[in-house]
Amino acid sequence: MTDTSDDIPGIGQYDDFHTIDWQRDIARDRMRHRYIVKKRQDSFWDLLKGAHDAWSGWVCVLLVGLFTGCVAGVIDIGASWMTDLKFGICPQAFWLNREQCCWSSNETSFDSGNCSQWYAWSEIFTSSREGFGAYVISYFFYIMWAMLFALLAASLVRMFAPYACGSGIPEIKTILSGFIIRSYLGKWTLIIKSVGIMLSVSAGLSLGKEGPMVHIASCIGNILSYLFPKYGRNEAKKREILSAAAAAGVSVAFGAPIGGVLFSLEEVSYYFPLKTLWRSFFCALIAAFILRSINPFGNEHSVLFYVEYNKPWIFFELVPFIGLGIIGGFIATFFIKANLWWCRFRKYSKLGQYPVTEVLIVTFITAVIAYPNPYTRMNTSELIYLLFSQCGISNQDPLCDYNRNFTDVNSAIEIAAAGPGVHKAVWLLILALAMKLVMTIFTFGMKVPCGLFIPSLALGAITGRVVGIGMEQLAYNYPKIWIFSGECSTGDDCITPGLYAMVGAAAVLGGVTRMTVSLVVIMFELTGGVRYIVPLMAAAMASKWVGDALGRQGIYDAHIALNGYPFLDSKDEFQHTTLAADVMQPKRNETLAVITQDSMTVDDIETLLKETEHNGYPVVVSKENQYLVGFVLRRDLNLALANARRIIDGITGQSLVIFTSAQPVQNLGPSPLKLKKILDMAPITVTDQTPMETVVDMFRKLGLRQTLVTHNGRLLGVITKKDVLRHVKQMDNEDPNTVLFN
Amino acid sequence: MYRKVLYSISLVIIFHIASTQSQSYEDKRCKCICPSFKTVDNTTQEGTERMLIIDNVPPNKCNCDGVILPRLAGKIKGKGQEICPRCDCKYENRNTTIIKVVVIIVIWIISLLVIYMLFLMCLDPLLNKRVKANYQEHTNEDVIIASDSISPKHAGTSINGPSRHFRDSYRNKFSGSFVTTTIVRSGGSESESEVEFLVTNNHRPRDDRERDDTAVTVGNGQDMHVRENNVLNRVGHQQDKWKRQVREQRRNIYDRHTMLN
Repeated sequence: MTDTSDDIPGIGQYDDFHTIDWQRDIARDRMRHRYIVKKRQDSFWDLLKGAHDAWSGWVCVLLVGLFTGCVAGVIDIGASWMTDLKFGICPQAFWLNREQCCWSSNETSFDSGNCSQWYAWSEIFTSSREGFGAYVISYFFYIMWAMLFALLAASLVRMFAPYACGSGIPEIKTILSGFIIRSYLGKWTLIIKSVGIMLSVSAGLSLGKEGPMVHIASCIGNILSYLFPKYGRNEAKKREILSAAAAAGVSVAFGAPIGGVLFSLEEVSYYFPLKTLWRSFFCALIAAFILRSINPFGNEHSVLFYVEYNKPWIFFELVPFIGLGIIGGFIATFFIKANLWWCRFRKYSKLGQYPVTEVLIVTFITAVIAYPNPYTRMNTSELIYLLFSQCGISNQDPLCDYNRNFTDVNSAIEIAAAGPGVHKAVWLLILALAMKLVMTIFTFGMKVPCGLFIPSLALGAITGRVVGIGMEQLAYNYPKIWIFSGECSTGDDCITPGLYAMVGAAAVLGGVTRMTVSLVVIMFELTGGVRYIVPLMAAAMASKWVGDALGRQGIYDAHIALNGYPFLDSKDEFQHTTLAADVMQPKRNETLAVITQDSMTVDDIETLLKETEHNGYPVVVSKENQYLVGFVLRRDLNLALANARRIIDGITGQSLVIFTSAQPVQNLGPSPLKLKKILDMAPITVTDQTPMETVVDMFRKLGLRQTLVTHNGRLLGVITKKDVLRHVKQMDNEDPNTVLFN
Repeated sequence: MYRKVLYSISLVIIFHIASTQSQSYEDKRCKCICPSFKTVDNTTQEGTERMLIIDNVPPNKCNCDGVILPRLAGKIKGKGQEICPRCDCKYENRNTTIIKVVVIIVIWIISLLVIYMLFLMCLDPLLNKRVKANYQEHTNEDVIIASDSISPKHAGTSINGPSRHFRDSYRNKFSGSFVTTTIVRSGGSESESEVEFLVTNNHRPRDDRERDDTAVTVGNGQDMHVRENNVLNRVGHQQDKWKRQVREQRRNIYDRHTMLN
């Protein structure tokens, strides 16, 4: 195929909901590149064009990183402002949230974040902050603001960009594996997703903004790739930019650039050559840098959950850490199964027809249950920060109500018995755990932008902190046991419950998403705790093993299976002994639809296109000798025939369609139509005795869309990607009819 | 009656705003945390909670002498040197201008979107009804962009029982191709069935069972030759194309539940 096949408009592009042909796009790109390199010596202008082609990849990811950082900064500031709007307002400077409003007030007391400059809603209407009336008014305003935000989010999504709902990561995984979903990464989706995630998070729902940030970054990547035709017109090359953009998305969501690159490698991308690794690295770096420079909140917010513990962990603590990993795996498996059950219920019942109402009801229930418990009332990120942090001098929460005297800020914290505040806090935390688990099951998958990371981290942090407090009190009450002797007998605090919270958070998140390396890197970039890599790794491994033993798929793969996307997972191994002949189309009683290379007329081809629905047709020498010549796509045929009828004179229904370059013999009748340009003369073929393991491997590694099956050199049938997917599902005893798209 | 309530609420808010003392919203501060006085002096009447002292001083004065001692001069009574080592001071920076700009931008964007949404929901159908009436005679027989005007009752798209099975098997027969942008209208018949099927390009239905059931109505997108001359019409055409895309997405997600469950 030469470059001049582009003169037929639309050739080389794909239809919506179709799989791309990686081989064809990579070949086109290589040809384009060779053409530019050859022309480089011609003139200075061509030299410039060559240089532009070489650096366009880097410029593209630079712009993607810039815009992602800016959008992430806007989302952070907007969300943090809107969240506090549920509680009150700062009248003099309404754009400040509670913490910023009280930032420079020079009152001396240590009230828990409130100050005279910040007005709670109860204060505006009843001039008091305490009392039953104030509580009721605050409750009412909390619910009202939450419902307003949720209503706005749901109706904006429904009205402007229905693709903006959900997390986005399952669909981006499918897109990156070679599927086309038009407008999924478009500008309206970008705007509505950004606005929607701000509104959803502020509504107090049990969701996070990390998954949507990946979607937003991919939208930015998709839009900016159209500035560079090298990427915009070639779907396979565009996916390099999208991988880099996904890395930038996680990088700005967590402030974790390296974690973002590893996340893109492990979770989201399908093909990840080294060149994409460099580009993702650069993109994540630029995005993190821009976000850091925009960050208006001061130095203390640069690392999301910055922790600094006084003491390292004891070796024996690995046992409770692994125990936390196992518990995290159980919680995560329960969450995945329950969420899938609920999503399936929503898909097939009447509930799915009332999306906005569903959002409102869930928000109402969440707000009503969340307000009384101070640990669910606060922002989930604040809760996680509180659970991770050590009980030091500046921690006023009842969780830190120990019987200890703080005589000196700079000395080590002594071990102490838990006061009554700690017991009450532990009960409240356990209630919060149950409530968050149930609410997240019903929240994830709603028709508003929603993410999963922060709720999972919160669940794990609560579990970990409770276990940590238990261990700490064990060490205080029985300091003579051999496991605690040594470090714990000096009177200083040797068990840090915050570390347990961190490990628990990593365990649950790892169990839900089945990440390993990227999880550990994200956790220690989130907390700055590089000394705790070994506990994190131990917990992540334990959680993954338990999760894999109980249920094979992580949450994203499970949603891909639920939606029926044509995603061929590269992690599973195909272990059955079927052959290519068992899977190929046509089945026994059907005939193979072929096109001959020079004996079909335009009318014949149009009839064939109408009567069959295949996406492509093999071209053979003749109907008697079905020797393979090549493969032609339905879309290309349609476009070429329509173009020919419009532009070329003398083409009628009786014109012969020639797929070879030889001159036709006859001169009577209408002039023939030469369509060699749209024929792919190098289709991948296998023989009918090829084992399906090899065929599945080829589909995975080469990114094929279809392969032709031959027998003794003659064409026998076609295997498409959908056939492979259905076969894999059938072999795993699942319903093959759930594979929906082409 | 409602107006009175509104006036009283706004008066209350303004009163509160006006009656506050001077507020401080600077961008720099020095934050010091000290334990309570009971640790140095058992006889004071102060409480046992920790103290947080914030002041706006230059960075070199952000220590015990510069911040804590002047603030607590009256209460220390000579114990200043004992409380100083137990306190911790930090100098912090922030930028409120960025916060202000971003929050105002966000408010603007959300208001614009809400106004546009209200416009599309309420005023657009009224406008389009009038415009549609003028264009009934320009029907284009060859190729029309499919647009649906199925009211959002979705009576037939409930996905349970035999209709789903039929739909799924039908979709399998069509290999699930979801190309919808062009269909050939057959004989000017408008389909009235509720179940929606999507057809491939240029598919001329053969018999009633496979008839093209996508509702085809004369939308605003047709009759391009007259409209293309006008820039405003071109904008309207783009908007219609976008509306169609959104409607298609909505159908996929909310009605047929094929994506994003």
